Amino acid sequence: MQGHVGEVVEVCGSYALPDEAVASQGATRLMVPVYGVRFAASELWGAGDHSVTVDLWESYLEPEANP
Amino acid sequence: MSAEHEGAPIAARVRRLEKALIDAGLTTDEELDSILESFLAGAKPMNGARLIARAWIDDEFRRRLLSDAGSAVEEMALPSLSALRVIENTAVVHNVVVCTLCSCYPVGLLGPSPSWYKSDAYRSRVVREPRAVLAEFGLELDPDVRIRVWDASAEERYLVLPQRPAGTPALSENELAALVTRAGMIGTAAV
Repeated sequence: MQGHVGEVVEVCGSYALPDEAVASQGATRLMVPVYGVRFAASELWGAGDHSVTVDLWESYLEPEANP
Repeated sequence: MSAEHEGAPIAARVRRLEKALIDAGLTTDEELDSILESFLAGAKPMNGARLIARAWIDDEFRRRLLSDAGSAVEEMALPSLSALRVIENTAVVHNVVVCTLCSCYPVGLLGPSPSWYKSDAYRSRVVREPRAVLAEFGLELDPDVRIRVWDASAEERYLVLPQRPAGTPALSENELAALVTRAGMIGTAAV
């Protein structure tokens, strides 16, 4: 997925990042919003007419360079 | 949890962890077994099928299942999950669920996952060529039907709401639930 352009199609709520959830069991954890991000198969694989929606933490995302 | 993991490295790690907890006096074998047994005894595809059948006969319930699945699951007193999202098949959109990282899946509503769901082949291929994978499962979709693949890679667990089969207006809720399969709720079958 990295480097590919997708569209946020839903807001899934806020959850601890997996690494942080493991590292700080029981302690105060930073909750980060998770979004459902839809990618066109053609964008990911260069072929296909389907879409793939992946749940991604906000810190995994960055604004599209030249929308 | 499942016999299918018996020889895997993860199984050895789990056994070592269990032994450490038991040796420390924090739990017992019997306690762990009874927790797993009681969870799995209540985890079965009929749970999900009951949600689907209710959604087919009750439009208000269907809307709530799609917008706030947690409250719909609670209302039917089914095993609750961390975060459930129900996605609806229509005449023009077919949904199919995968976990490309591991095998995330709503166990409480579908029962233990089928071994193919955890296979590298399913996880890598269904995101690339879902139409071909679904055809191998015996589900030939019309070329006009768009396919949406949902990768349960974070906290939400996905359940597909299949289309109600044609010719079933006279069936009762229980009869409808009997038509719904685990594969249908993963998206690898029509119903």
